[in-house]
Amino acid sequence: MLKRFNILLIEPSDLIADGFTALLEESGNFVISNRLSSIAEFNKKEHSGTDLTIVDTIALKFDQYSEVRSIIPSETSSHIVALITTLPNNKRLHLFDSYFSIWDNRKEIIEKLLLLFNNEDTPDNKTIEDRNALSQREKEVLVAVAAGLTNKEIADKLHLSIHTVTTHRKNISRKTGINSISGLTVYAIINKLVDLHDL
Amino acid sequence: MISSSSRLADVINQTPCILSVIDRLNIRLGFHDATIRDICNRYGFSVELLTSIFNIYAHNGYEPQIDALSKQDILKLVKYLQTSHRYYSKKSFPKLHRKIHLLLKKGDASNAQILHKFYDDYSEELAHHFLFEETTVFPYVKRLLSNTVKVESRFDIYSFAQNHTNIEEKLSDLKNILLKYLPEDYPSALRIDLLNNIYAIEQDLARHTIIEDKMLIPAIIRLETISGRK
Repeated sequence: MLKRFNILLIEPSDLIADGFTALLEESGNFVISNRLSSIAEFNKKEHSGTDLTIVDTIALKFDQYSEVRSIIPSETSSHIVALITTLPNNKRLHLFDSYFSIWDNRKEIIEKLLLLFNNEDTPDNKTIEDRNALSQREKEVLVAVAAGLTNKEIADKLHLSIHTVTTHRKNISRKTGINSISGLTVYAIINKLVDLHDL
Repeated sequence: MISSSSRLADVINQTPCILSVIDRLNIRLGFHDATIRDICNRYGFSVELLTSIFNIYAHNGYEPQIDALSKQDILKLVKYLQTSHRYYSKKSFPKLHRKIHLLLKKGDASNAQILHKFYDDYSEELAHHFLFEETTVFPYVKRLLSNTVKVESRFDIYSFAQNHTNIEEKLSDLKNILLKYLPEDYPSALRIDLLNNIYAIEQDLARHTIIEDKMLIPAIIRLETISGRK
């Protein structure tokens, strides 16, 4: 996990840009390789090889939300994430791969960004079965759910934020087709992830 | 859309699951070419009540017109829902349970143990939900109809609707476990029979829930407004 992801930051405020740069670089996973004050400064050639573009929604005009993917093509930057510093246009946030707000804490921000790179394998070269297989982390969460732990307890035990635990749980249910806690317990036992006597 | 002039035989041929509905409405087979209106006259239902129930079963996304329901209809609706509960708890689910038992005998003991526990918890939840409707919801509707409700006897109809979601969720989990995750060595014929059974119950319960959520609950809210309670 020591690969460092290159970030292009589009942020008009120096204060936010500098604070954000410090916060991300401290995590060791990210490097801010470029910072622009407006989206007009973006240049496909100059900024190619970016892993992740983070755009402050304040730098986007209303009609630019829907064009953000054509302005910043995926060849240049594989992910685009919205940074929310003002009241955003919520209806348009789904156009981004993810989003976070200046009110999110350090842990939440880093985890949201890392989640983007968790399933890096492109869907095309994986079978549906592979894609639906639980990741190691998801298995750990599942075992904890089966043991009857609450989201808060799971977060503490696995050193995750509650938000990330919820995301894992949603993914587990989406992948397995099982939603209830008791159903997930049955799944964990049938698949021998836990032993009945350990519960 | 099913209307007063539809023939009951056509309705059932097109939507066979209505067969168990007419059983619960106490409508006897052997009705020749009777239309819905004929049946209503014979058994004392209003056309609005019967077509609403049938259309919920026959058409996904159908929105029943509850404004057309009289107090008499709401009483009959409650009676139908009570009969349905008896049908589920005395017939459908015990049958399902017997089949699960037969299937689980054929495999791993710890799988059997955990699945029996899952099913027992589910039955208990279901029984609890039905009991709540029998002892709280239905009597409340009857008191509303006869104008004898006390303010403190109100209950939260919204948590009631949430309960429905939980019940459907568990049945769907059970279905996926039996379909996808129980190992291959269980006998297929038993397993398929059991799954067909679950699909039928799932469909029936989903429609039953729509009847409660889209007919009974709006009827309760309307009655509450009329009696100046909300």
